[in-house]
Amino acid sequence: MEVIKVPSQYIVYEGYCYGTLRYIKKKLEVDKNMLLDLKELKAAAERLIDKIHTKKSFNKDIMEITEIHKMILADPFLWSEIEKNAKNGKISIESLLNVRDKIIELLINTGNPLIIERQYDIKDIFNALIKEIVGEEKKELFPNDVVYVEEVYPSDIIELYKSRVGAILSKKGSHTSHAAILAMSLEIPYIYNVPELSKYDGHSVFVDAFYGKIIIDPSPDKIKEIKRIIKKYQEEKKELEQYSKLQFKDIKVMANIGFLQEIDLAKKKGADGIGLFRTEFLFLNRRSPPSEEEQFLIYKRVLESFYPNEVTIRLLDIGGDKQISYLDMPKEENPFLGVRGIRLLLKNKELLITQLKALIRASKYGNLKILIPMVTVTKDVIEVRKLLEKLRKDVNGYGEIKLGIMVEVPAVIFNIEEFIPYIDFVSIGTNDLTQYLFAADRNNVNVSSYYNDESKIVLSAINMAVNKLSKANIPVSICGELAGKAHIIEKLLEIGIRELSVAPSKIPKIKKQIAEFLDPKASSRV
Amino acid sequence: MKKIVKKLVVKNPEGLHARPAGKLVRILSDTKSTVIINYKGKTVNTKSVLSLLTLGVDPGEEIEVVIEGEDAEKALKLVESVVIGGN
Repeated sequence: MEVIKVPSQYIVYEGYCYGTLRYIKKKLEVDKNMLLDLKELKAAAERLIDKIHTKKSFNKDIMEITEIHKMILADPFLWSEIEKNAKNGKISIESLLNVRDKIIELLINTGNPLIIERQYDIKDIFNALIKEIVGEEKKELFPNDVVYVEEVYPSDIIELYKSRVGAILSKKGSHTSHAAILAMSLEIPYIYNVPELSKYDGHSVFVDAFYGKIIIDPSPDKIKEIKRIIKKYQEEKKELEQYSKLQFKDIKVMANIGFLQEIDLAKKKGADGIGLFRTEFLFLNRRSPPSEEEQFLIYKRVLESFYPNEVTIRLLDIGGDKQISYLDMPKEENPFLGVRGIRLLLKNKELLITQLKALIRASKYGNLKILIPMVTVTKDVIEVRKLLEKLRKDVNGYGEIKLGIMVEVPAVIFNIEEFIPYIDFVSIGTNDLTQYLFAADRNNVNVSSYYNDESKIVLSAINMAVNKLSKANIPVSICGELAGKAHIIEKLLEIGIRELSVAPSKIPKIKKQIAEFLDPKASSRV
Repeated sequence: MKKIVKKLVVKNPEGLHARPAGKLVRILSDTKSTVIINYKGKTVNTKSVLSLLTLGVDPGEEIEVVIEGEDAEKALKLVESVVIGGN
């Protein structure tokens, strides 16, 4: 039995699956020197276009993505490049793949992460084209199989969905890929950045896409536990659907999202607003910082999507553990105890100012709350508040903007009274709070026994903060994983927490838990 | 034959990436005019979704559209709906 932990940030869609691991090789096994007739290639492309055309889908995401694949297959630029590389009406597979790589290089050269993602669509299309001509050996898949691939292409997801595959694991991937969008849309558990698993082809595997755990060849005892978990989950899932529509008078269950692509899922699952909109995606994987305009348009989109509910947008929260080419970041021995969050922003005022300006402009499109990450001392907040007020005078037509802090550094818990005059709300980041309290990295399996966010120590810290903040009428929300643990909800509600923010897929279960805890009179169905 | 040249600022939060680019190509496929987009010295025809993608137009950027044909005005409205419409 082998247990593999994958950081939860790589979970695209949650769920459980116990089945057989199927490794699907992406590498095409064809002779690179094989010559393809241009006319046949064109005919193959037409057949593919027809196949896509006749597959009318119920799902709008599938339709949109396959529409683009159709367009690419008919793209004049594509065919002019292929013709350039053909001799006497024929092109070798190697040359065809060179055309593919040239196109991918053009996409990569734009330096834009969303466009660079499209390389998987290109690979997908060329793959399908070659298979259409050469014929392919289809690997047999059975319902509930767990598929492992190096890279997932959009058409894979569609095929896998039809085979009723139970979960997808990939070595490479991202939340913004078309594959991820489809996995979320079709509700197939999907985790990427998974280690090499090809040697386990044919082995039994349990995928826990809630926590981020993969168990290969579970022991008989483990299997019993797994079957129990899955049975319970399947029974609950059906029942849970109805809870997303529930709305409580005094309790909000909101969504944590990190990409615009998650907005639809958050709405579908019944989010009462966005409790945490992570902005890191805007800044990572690019060569230059996002412009004020680009940020403004994205913040505006989220705010409008959830209006009149509140949307809490967190300022850029990163540190030395991530590489950002356009920022001057010192090499640190302990990046989690170093220049990160607001510390980094205050050392890069231009970046902070641009983000604040974009937020101020976007604020008139919804109910905006700005969240400051990694706050340690009041000076952190005071400086941001001053900057915010100064910038608001320069920008026209802004709405109401609330400013609040992440409570994750333990010092803040002991000193929360001093922050009260400067803040409109608080969000407790229980993940980092727990890490700092127990001095244990939650992604380090060697110290996992020390990291315990359910411990009474964490709850006591939350209690301390809530007591002081509620006296000052400052709303407190919990946005760490603890908020998504149904069995802890009762304790959190008893402490006085009335706002929770969780991954979209967890919302129905948390709402159910709250409904069961409350007197029925306090809840109303909308 | 009408010719319209206009500068537009891209308001779509996704810029002219996959879905907006695809939408642009699709809605213009019925028009009789040719639509050319100029951006940072590069010129592409909207018949090619790949060429549009490789332009790499981010949100907030300015593009120049050159439309020639009998239904140029209609084509311009269609372009604006995607570029400015934000869908």
